[in-house]
Amino acid sequence: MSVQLKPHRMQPAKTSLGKPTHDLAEVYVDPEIVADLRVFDQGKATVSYYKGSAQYSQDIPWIYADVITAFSQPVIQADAKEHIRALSIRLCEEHPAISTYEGIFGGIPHLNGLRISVADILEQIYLTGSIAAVQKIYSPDLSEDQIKEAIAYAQDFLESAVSS
Amino acid sequence: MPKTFLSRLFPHNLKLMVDYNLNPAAIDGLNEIGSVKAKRTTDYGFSQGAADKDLVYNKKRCVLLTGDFRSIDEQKYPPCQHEGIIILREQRASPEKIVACIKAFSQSGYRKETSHNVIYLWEKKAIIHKHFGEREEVTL
Repeated sequence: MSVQLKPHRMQPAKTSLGKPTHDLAEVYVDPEIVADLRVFDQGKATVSYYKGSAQYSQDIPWIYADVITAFSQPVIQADAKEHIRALSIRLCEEHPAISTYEGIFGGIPHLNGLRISVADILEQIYLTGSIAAVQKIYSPDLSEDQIKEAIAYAQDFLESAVSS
Repeated sequence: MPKTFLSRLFPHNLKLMVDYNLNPAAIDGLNEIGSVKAKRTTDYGFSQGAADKDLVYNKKRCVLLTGDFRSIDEQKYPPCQHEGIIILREQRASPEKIVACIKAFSQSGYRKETSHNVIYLWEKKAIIHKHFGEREEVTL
C-alpha cells in the first residue's frame, strides 16, 4: 500500500479550505508509485497508484486529499517523467535507428550516432514540407530510411503514451 | 549599450559554433551579419554525434549556438565554466529566423555578454544568465 494515514500529532493546521486537520491525518506518499490524484467536489478524493504493473485506486476523505495535493504534485510530475523516459527507451528496441544515449541531447530520442533528434526531423518536415528536403539539409549524413524511422518512432511514442 | 572609441577600434566578433542539428543554411546568413563568425560543429572537427559536454566545453574558444533547450541549460552548464552558450528558444525556427535572432542580439549591444554566460534567445528578447546566478532580461 502506498498511502498511509496516521493520526496527526502536530499542532492543528488549517488546510486551504480553512478547516483544521488536527483530528484527521498525516499522509505519507510513496513517491515511486503515486500515479494520479483526483479531487471531487463532493468532498472526496481518489488516489491512484501503481504496484508492480497493476494500477489501484483508493478513495480518501477530502481533507487528506488536500494534504496529499501539497506533497504529491512534484511526485506525480516526476513519476510521469520517469514513465515517459521508460517508454522512450523501450521504443528504441523496436526502432534500432533511434537512441536515447544520455550524452547527446541529455537522452532525448535522437538518430543513432547523430546530433539530430526525432523532434528535429519533425520540425524540419514541418518547415520544408518533404522528406527529400530534410534529407538534403543534412546530406550526406542522413538517409531517407532514418527519417522514416524517426517519424515511425514519433507515431509509436504518441500512440503508446496516450494509450498507456 | 553605447559604442565607445575602444569598442569601435577593437570590435568584438562573436565566434559561434553552430550545433549540428540546426539548419546549416543559416550559417551563410550568420556570416553575412558582419560581427559574427559562424561555423558548424563538424567544421571544428567534432563528429556528427558529438556529446553535449564536448561541445559546451570546447577548446576552440567558441560560443555554442544550439536549439536544444531541453537538455542544455544554466543549471547543467553553469556560467563561467565554458566559453558561452546561446540557446535558441524560437520553436520551429527557419534559417532566416535563426539569422534574425542572432542579428538582433549582436546589434543590440549585448554581444559581449555572450562570453561565459548562458543566453536564452528569442527574436525580440534575451535572458542572460551570468555568474553567481545573476539573470538579466533584455529587449532586443
